[in-house]
Amino acid sequence: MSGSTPRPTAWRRLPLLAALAAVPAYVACSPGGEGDPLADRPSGPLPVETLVVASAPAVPKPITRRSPAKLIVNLETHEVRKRLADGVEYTFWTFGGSVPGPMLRIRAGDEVEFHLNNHPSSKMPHNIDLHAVTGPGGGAASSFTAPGHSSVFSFAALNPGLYVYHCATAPVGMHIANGMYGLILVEPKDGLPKVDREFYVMQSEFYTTGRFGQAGLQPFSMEKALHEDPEYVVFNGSVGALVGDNALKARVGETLRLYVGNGGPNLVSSFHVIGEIFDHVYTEGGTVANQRNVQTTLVPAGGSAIVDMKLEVPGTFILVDHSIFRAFNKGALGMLKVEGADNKVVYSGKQNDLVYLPEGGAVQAVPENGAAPERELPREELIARGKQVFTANCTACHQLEAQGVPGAFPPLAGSDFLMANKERAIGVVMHGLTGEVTVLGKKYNGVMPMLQLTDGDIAAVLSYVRTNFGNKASDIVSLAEVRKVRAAAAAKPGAGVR
Amino acid sequence: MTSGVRALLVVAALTGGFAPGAGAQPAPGVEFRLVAAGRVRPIFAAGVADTGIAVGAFRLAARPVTNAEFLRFVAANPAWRRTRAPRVAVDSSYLRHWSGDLTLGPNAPPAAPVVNVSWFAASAYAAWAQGRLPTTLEWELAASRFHRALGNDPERLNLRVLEWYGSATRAVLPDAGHGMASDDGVRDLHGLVWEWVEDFNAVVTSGESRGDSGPDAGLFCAGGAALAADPSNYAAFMRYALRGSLRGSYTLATLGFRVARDAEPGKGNR
Amino acid sequence: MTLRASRLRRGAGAAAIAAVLAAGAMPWRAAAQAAPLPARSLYRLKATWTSHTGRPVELPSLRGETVVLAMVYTSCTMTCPLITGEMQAVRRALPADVRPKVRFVLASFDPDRDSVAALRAHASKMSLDDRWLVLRAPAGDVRQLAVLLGVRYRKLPDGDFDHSNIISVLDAGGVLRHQSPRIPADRAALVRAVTAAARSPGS
Repeated sequence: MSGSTPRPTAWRRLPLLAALAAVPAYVACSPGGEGDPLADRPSGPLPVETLVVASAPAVPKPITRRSPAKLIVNLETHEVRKRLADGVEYTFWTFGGSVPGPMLRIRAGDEVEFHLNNHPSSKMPHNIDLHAVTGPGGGAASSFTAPGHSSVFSFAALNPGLYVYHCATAPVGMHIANGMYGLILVEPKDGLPKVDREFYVMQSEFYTTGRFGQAGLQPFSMEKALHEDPEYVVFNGSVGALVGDNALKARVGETLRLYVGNGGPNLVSSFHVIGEIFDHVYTEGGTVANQRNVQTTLVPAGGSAIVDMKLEVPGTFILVDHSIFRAFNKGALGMLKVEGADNKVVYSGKQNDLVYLPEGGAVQAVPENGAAPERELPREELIARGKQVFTANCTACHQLEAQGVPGAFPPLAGSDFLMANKERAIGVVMHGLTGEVTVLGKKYNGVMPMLQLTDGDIAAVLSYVRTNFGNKASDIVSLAEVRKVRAAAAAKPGAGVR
Repeated sequence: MTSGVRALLVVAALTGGFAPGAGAQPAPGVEFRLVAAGRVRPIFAAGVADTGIAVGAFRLAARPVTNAEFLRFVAANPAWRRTRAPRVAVDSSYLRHWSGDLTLGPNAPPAAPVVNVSWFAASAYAAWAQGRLPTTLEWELAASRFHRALGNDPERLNLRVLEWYGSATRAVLPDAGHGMASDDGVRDLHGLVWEWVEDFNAVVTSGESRGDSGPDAGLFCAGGAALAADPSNYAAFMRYALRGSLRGSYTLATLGFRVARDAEPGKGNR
Repeated sequence: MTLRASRLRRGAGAAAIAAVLAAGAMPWRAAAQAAPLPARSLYRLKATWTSHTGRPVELPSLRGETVVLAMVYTSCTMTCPLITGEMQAVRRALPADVRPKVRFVLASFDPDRDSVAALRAHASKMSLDDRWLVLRAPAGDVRQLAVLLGVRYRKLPDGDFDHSNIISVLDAGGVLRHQSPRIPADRAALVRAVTAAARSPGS
């Protein structure tokens, strides 16, 4: 955003004296104490390159140039209808057709000729505010572009760092809430320390009229946005964008760097990778690795962080916003799959397991009042509802194809444990599950939370899972069967599978 | 002068310089509704009292101009055909959804609102149809009156408008004249297309390509919400932002127009 | 539009009708003339302005000259005097061979208050010589010219205007060659653009 430096005016309503006193916005300065960023510019014209950008989670290659260049950037703004979660669609406003927009990588001292092209099918004018730009509105003023038109502006990259860019057209909150953000990395002149692998991860939230998981095309809810109460908090633009086949992949022994951005529009991220410690953090996306050994780093809305870690052991590491309900219930969950040999010194695997049940630890769920009475549904309707319930509540752990996560979350696909005992399965979904279970010959020892599903939801989701993913149940799970299990549990407090 | 001579003079004076005396009569198809006088509080409120600006009564076409009507206009005024219109007055996507100079084709149903027209072309049509474009204040006044349809709830109107703005553009637009009617009986003000207004360039923004911050620059960054009359009126923000992004030669796939007339000759808002 | 109305009032005879028809009617000028105007010529917009000397001025009559053009209003006490001053400074900075070929034009936003007498007083106050034209036209024509130039403006309740501070350079064919978007302007760029336009005139 623009600073308070007096600058030339394009407008009349400026007191005469202020106008006369106005000075250019580009004031000589020495960002970051690194000397004049434009000092190594040659006297002649700069070599011209077309900038190659990368789609998340990919990161453009590190810059090997050690002298400035003029870079041509073409970026298209496009309003597209795409998947936000399974069964849920949203009209995203995007840079480059995806959320987040592509990652740009340039070098301090480079000159950028930026072409912003607004697709003819856009309803909105758009612009771009690059936090890396020193100048009015970070380019927003010069890039304001009607549908079907293009704007060009140029800037010199003065300050190295990892910067957010976003659309800043009024109402700016809605343009960001609909998906218009991305990252631009301005490398220091001598580059960043080398690592083996780099990824681009950007958190953001979505405000839909329907609740989390509600199927269909979901309109933007201005009311929820104003209350900062999103239905979705996601990495890289949709629920599941970084899980399953889309997980980030690396190998044991590699050094890994994540360029983490937060598009907001409202929430600050407590970014954490479960089971890893960040060896270095470039706090808030600056160019100094100013922290070591960090568990969770704050990523402000409209800000960033760079985190480095050495991968010592294999496994699936879960990326979360450690404001943890966002991870469990709103989608802020990604995966880093590290392959390679075990290192039992660093991590032994489970050595012992004891049940811990403090006195009075049982939780009583209070039935919700006021909900419409539930009824038995016809088979097809039941299974369709079950799919929605599954997508919204189960895929974070059990995955989209119910294949689970080896060593962490058991598969439901082709699951002997699931199919062996219908009443037990109802009890697990109703009450959660703690302790060791064996599924398809492999032992799992984790915690499945109590999900607070209605009896109708439980009947639906079990009917769906038991007839899909290679599970071949001929019967459905009825509401009556679920109620019977609930009644039995109520008669015998402390029972169930807790 | 005789009325015949006067009519000839009107046609010659209003159809633009390329086909003087083409003599085509404007399409009689559209009905004009009287929009009663009222007050408008623009989203840029600097210097404007809380009670807003008084806008006198005027007449406004009950729906936007259609492809079929615009076809009659270009048939009568060859200089406004797709391949002939002056490049200083239309950009290269002028009428691009038509199949040809005088052929609508599959993407331009006759009764759908015409889009991909520049301000200059829309102004020329309006003059040919013995009217003019509405002013911003007139349009905003007409577009704020849905008490009957929406039970006097401005929030419901805002939400309804946002729903359109937030949805993706359709390749082929539906027919004009079937949208929600305002209290004055004007349809399609929301939910079909954006519409040109005569003084679209009264949005004093930083929108021009190399411009700087203007009095309305706040429309383009969050800080400026402090300057707005009602920061939660997202729909109005978006209309002003769109107008601010336009130049007179621009043509957009979602931007059409409708014709206005003074309530009585010589008693206009302009 | 206002100009049309005034024409109708004035056009009380066949001669007037003929004149309007012959002129090709407004607002767009026929492309097919003796020497066709360039496709992007601003002079295709046909409107008759009135100068500070009371003389009618059609924009195409400026054809053949390089034109430095800005929109102002004479009661403006803020940036308009700066715009005029900038144009005067550009003129002083032009090479001697270019200076006589350049026309300086101020077009008023404010037909209500900028009468011919007001324009004349302004020209005198600002010491504008005969290379300058200060013009007025009905509101509709002002809007058309502003839209062509990308100039944004609105009238405020107190009668003043918010407006862009754009200075435009047109070549001999009336094609836009350069625009300075703000005050203070990049004077060197303006001088370069005017000089280039004057030395390689458009059609």
